[in-house]
Amino acid sequence: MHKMHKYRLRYAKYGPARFASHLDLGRALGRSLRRSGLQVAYSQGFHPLPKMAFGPPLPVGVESEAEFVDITFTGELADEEISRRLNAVLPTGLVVTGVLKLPPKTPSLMSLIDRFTYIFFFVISPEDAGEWDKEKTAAFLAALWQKEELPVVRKKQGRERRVNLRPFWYDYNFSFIEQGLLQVVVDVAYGPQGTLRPDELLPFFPSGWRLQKVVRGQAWSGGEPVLPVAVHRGRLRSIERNGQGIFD
Amino acid sequence: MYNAYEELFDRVKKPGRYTGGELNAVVKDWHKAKVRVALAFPDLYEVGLSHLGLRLLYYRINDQKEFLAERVYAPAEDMEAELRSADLPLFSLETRHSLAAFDLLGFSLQYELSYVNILNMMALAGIPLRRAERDGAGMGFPLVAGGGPGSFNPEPLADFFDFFLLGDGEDAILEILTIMAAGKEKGKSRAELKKDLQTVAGVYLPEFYRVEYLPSGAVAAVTPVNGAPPVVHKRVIPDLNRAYLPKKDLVPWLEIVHDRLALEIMRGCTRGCRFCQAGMVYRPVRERTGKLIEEHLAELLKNTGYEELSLTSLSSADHSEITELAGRLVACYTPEVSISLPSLRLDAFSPELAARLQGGKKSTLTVAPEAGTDRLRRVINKNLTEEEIIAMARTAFGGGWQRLKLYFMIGLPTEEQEDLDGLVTLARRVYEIGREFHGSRARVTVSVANFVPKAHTPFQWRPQAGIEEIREKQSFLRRRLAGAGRGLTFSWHEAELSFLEGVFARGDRRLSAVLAEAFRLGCRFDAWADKFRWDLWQAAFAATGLDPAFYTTRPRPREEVLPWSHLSAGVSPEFLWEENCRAEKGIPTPDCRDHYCTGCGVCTVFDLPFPPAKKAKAGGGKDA
Repeated sequence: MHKMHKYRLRYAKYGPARFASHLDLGRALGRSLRRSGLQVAYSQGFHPLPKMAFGPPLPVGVESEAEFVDITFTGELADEEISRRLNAVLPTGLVVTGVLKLPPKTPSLMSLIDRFTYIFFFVISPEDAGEWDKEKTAAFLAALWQKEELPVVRKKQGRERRVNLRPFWYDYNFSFIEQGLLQVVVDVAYGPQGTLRPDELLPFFPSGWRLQKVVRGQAWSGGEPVLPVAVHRGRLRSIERNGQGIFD
Repeated sequence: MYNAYEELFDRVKKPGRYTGGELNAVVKDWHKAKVRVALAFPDLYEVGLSHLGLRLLYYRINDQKEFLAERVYAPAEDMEAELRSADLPLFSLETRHSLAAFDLLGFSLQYELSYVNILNMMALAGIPLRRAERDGAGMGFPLVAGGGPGSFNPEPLADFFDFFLLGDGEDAILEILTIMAAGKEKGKSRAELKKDLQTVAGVYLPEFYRVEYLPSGAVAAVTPVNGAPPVVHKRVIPDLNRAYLPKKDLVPWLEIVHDRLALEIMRGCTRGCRFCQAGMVYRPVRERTGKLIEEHLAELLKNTGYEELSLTSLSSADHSEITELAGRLVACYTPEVSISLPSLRLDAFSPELAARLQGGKKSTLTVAPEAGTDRLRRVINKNLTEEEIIAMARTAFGGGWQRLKLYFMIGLPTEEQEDLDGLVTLARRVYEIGREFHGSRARVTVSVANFVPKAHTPFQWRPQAGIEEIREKQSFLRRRLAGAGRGLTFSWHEAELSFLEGVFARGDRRLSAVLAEAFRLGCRFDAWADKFRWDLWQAAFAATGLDPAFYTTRPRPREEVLPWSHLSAGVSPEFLWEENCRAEKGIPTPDCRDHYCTGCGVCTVFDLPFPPAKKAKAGGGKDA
């Protein structure tokens, strides 16, 4: 039996990959690992699968600069070798940006992550763009932040349930890239206490703000960014080039 | 334009059907290509991308510096609605150009019930449906072409298409594109270009053939005009070992119907089942050697990372090296990569090998008796006896399998009540054997298709069973199989779907009008039972004054000029008629790979060596 070595990979998901579901992603990464020739460990059984444990699923359609997966290899590898060999074979839209060797008994990503940062990119129509200046935007978001109730209806197994999103909204910020191009950053809870999906917040923003895209920007654990941090950004610039937004 | 589609993606189901960006997709510089081809499949992405032939052509074309090929699949209803409301044309996956911007729009013709989708795809790109309208518009629109089994009787599509390619496309496509590139450079007209294309072996241009009809509605004569040859012969690649094979393959983000690496190990089949069009039109049998297959698979696995590979062909178990090859592949790749054959037919495979291929899992095995009695099996030349089938069932259930699938057809020529009784008895006997070994855990699926006579087969003169007859037979089977036990399930195909398939399978040019009308009435995705609108089709027939029964339930006399009589797959009409007569008498015709040449004519027409490739004797095989 080989000695097992577990690594935590940070990766970005963008462009054509943003529509890949959690299952699609598992298949794509499994196939990429086979192409890379890295000595990945397999599960037992009739159809062995590479040993991978993903972090919380990313909603379909959302891009991310902070996705994580724990992968078990049968040999010790340099962090740099893992990212280099995987990046050489990953499909467009996935790029490994950091690798960290995990000590034994490291808690799983699912139990670790307690907060996410999402960035909403809005376009405000030219007629309204002048009206939505810094002050008005700040006032609007502050008023939203002051509310005690942000009710949504969630459907689960055919049943409808009313949920207040407000307790799961931790923080916010905003900036204008230029007039009419607004970036709103929100931090939300993740974990057993509850969470909110970025699309659930959308109805609370003004209808004149047209969403261009949502990006998951960071994952947190106990107030610290989940490790590893992004060390190479190289191909990441193609988020903008990929025809996704108007922010080219 | 590229980005205009992005907004639509967020609003449709499975946007991955349209975004492109799959691993190993080829995105070339649009402006540098001399000829641009859109390879189109008239069904959903998950179905279309699963098709091997189109992927082969995709790489074949893109491997040439001066040519470019991009892909497009039929948009689902939601995407069609989005495109129409945004007033955006149907686009290619790679660079999101309108289909109208290509020089050649090539459709894969895999089944008749996808034909309306072809019209929809053209319309969604603003391409005039009728060839004459496009010709009238100068060089502004692409040439529209078709290939695949449908091109052996493409007559119902004749009004819409510029040309069809009959037979193997790997080499012909490059000849076609070379001619198109030269024509473009010299500024040739569409008419001049088509005259040039006629020189490519296997290319059929319907406008160069005049069809006249008898008062009865049957074809009186098909006359070549414009110097066209009286008969168009299909294109044949004589040696598959020297045929083009891509070194990579597309790996989709979405899960598709055949989500695995597929390598064609053999083309053609000489078993000679008289109902099978593929078995006739893809003759002769040509194999790739085990050595070539292994080397190529290694390369493809490295470039795709697939976790499953499939050795495809019409009858993979007949490959002369299959046992050794499968054994070596299993040893080399499993369990991390699983290995499959299109259907694990027990009539050709030992249970040991089947078990190894299934990774020891023993899921489902398949037996295809096709008909209910030995007599009817002799008629269709599927020469399995009831005793052999029972023995296979015993081997399978005794070997640990709990699930067996049985394939049958109803509505076969000469079929009698006895044959249906025989089907029921056989299915029940097989199920009882399952119960003997596995008790209530035994599962037998009885899958019953409706026989549709096809062009270029011995049964091309035979009447097809009507809708009522099929319904009655299905209801008889349902009643008689219902009591057998919970583990026996019966599945069937909609009678109307098979009936419509039959209309177009042996239809003539006048049916173009029906297709256009059905499209106008809103028919789409007819192959999907939940989308199929028989009422609209009936309205389309009524509006055009054509009777679907004329094409289906009517027996055709030997002397009738069949609408595809000017198209040849190499198998002679005399051979087909002879086979039809032997069927009537229940005389089997052996596989020419096992015995003697049966005189189908293919090897003679294409000047190929006989025998095609010797089949493996049980338990052995020849070396590469």
